[in-house]
Amino acid sequence: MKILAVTSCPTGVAHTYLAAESLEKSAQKKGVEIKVETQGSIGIENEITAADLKDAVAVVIAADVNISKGDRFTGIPKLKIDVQKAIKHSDKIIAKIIEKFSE
Amino acid sequence: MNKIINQDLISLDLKAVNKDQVIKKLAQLINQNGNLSSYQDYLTAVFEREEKTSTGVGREIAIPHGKSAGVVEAAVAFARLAEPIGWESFDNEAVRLVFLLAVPAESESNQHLKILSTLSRNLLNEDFKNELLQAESAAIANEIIQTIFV
Repeated sequence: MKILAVTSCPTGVAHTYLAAESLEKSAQKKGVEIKVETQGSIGIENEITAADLKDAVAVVIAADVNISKGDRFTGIPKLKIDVQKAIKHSDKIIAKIIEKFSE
Repeated sequence: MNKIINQDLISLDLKAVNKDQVIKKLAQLINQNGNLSSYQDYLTAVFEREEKTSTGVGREIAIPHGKSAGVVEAAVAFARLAEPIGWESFDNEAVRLVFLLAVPAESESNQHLKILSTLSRNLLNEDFKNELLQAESAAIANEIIQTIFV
């Protein structure tokens, strides 16, 4: 199973990366693949590509601001949350997605 | 050694009554280190950011930060607090470790931003946190923080 995520916060200095790290750690714990794109002050890093979208079950949008290139995710299940919640509840978020998308 | 932090920017067992005072004391360290052209402008940016959402990120850590034209060169100041202080963190835990980040409004390179993102990612590392809680001197704390930038 592959999960995608985009993280972004107003200053793009700290929470963007904390949320990315939280989600990656939670996914690792559960043994699922995740790719987290960060949209911070540095710009977009680890950008999600069309190939990533093909085999992903869902995308977590953890952002307090409108994300760039959001139209990429048309047609894929999205979970929108604020960035603080992604840091705090990353385990639950990943567990919920696994539960929903595993047959 | 990465120039973004040094032992003069570190205060172990900092005494303060509230988070505003912690921020001001750390901002003074950054100012004394010569990274600011306007202490006031920088401080305003930090407090404006703090008003949006708390920078208490849980696990007893807070990372207040400000991006301002009053910052000449990026810096990180670090405090270990003598007494835990409330920071409206989402896990309701009081804060013991504070990293104050100063970022120039505009910069020619992303270098310092990468450093700050590296720092943010390492804050979730329990070993990193525990080592900082136990560091015996500012010099040792500096060495611990420097290791993540290698």
